[in-house]
Amino acid sequence: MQELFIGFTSVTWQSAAMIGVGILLIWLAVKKEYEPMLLLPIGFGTILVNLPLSVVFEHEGAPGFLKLLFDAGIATELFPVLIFIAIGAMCDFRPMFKNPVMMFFGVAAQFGIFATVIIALLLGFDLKVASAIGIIGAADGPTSIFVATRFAKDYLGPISVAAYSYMALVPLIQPPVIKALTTKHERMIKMTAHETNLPKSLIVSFPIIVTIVAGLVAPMSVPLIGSLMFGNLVRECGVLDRLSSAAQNELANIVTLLLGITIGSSMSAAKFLNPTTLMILGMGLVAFVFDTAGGVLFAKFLNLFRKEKINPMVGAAGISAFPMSARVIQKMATAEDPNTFIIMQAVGANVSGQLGSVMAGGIVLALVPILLG
Amino acid sequence: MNDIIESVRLGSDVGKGLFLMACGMGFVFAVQVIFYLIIKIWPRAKA
Repeated sequence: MQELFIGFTSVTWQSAAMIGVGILLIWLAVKKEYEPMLLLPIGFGTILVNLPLSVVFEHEGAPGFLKLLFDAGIATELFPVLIFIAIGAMCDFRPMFKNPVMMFFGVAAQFGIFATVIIALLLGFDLKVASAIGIIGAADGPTSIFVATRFAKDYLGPISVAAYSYMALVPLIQPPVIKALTTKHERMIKMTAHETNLPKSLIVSFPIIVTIVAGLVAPMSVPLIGSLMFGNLVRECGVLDRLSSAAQNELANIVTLLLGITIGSSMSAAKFLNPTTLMILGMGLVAFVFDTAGGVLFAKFLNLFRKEKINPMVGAAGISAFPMSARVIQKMATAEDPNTFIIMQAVGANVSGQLGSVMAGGIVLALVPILLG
Repeated sequence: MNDIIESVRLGSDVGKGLFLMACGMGFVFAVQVIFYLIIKIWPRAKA
């Protein structure tokens, strides 16, 4: 008789709390539209894996469908790489080519990654886990998943949720930091758009050059940067429109669907409900704040030497949360002065942040094992 | 370089973090400079 009610008798307060977390994520996705494509599947995966007996993950030694997906797509790092092909096919680097100086904000805004690594080390995390936490500051879900899979598999759930949640919360996180670091006068700086005819040879060659340079400088970044650039080459070559469309739509949708629910499966009560998770979520926020500050302060630094001033808010768009961050910056600029248009420069910084974050992830992957000997 | 890495390895965790920051930001900056120069010097048709 007891076996008939095993579902009820197996419920613990921890699993019930996690089901609550899953419902919260779905609510944020549906009601608030915070990264719904990721948070909804993650939320539902969280519910599934915390139901009694967790049959969808593993039961009596037999793998459930979520474990099969996890082993095939996350443990092998396949899903993040496939997502990057899709992102590459969606990325338009033209705004960056038109304003190449914006590339440097894609570096400055990675400051949060490394600052957070140091904070995590001070809080007692080991270097591998600290690095995986710091990469939340890449503001780039697939990179966070990729690094966490290598360095902190046990924290994959909270790291992924933090990365995607804070990306969705960029409109709330960035404005106060930017306002704290800039004056109204600085926020009203107008920038001229550089309308140049870009040679097709540059647009097509760029992904190939980036891949080769990245492969030489940071070979560990090649799975990520290579897939990103492959997607971009398919988009820009001009002869693979069908494949480009498939990468931007079918591939992106299918992998996103599977990635989200599979990440949710790593959110079991045993792994998620502990003080460490709260610390990871807190440090993720710190990483985004430092990223934003790094970009803004670097823009102000550049302005010390430039005749043609840069609106320092553009620096904040150097984080990789594309295109959310660029939109937030333009909205802030319009709020200060309706005649300030910096969207193209912000998008340029934003796509260069995409490159910078992947490079930073690759360098962390390469350096940490060396430092640990 | 090997000596520097060895001393960082033997040093504190925060030392490792600072080294990671210096190298990480330095490498990313160097790579972006390369991309910047490529974009800047790429031949463009005259308007």
